[in-house]
Amino acid sequence: MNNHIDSASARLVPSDHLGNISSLIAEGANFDGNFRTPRDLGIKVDGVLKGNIHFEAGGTVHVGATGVIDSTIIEADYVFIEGKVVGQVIARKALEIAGSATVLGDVSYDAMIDIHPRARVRGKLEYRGDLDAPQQN
Amino acid sequence: MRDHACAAVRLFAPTKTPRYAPAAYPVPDTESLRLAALEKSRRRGRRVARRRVALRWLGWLFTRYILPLAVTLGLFYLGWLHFGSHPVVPSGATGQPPLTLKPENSLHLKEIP
Repeated sequence: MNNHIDSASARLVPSDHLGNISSLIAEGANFDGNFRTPRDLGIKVDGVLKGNIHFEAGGTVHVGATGVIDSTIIEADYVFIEGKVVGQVIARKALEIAGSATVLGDVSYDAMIDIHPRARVRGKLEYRGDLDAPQQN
Repeated sequence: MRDHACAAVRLFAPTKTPRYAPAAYPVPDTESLRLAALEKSRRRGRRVARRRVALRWLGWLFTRYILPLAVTLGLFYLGWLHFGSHPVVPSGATGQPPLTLKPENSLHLKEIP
């Protein structure tokens, strides 16, 4: 089983999560609708998706460099953005915005965040965790 | 009568359908399809991401350093064109004889009265 992932590009999202993507919207495909599952799965978007992505528990969302998600609410444990996202992003564990990414909308995260210096983000950034809790290294 | 019988036999005979070797066209299983799609997506995505990040760095480098440097050099060049360069007038055009240096006119050779 070849789950080789370019680990240099993803620093917070575990490579096994990125390698176990179960659903793929390929480049050149347009998908209108919502993606919703109670299971800990993963979705990668290389095409165009108009709709919401909601993982009730767990979940990994990977927006590829060619991917575009429009008018959306993304909610998952791990969110890794390399493409363009217009809408709201909620990462319950870790959020990673790569240097090739463009995010237009509000971004929330509970634990960890990583934004590349060349990433383009326009919107509100919110930490949803406990600000008084001792920091874990 | 015999022809009719042969026709009836042919009518109820099992139809000969072309037989395709199933092993020649294997249907890929879901897991191999998923892995192949992910691998292709990963290669394509990495290429596009690297190119886009490089272009963003180049854009930043251009607006941060190269453009101001080019504007500064251009202003210096315009200033030099307007204020720093005067037309060179040849000495013959002024009506004065050209200066010639003669050894006997040297000051250190003349006696001070």
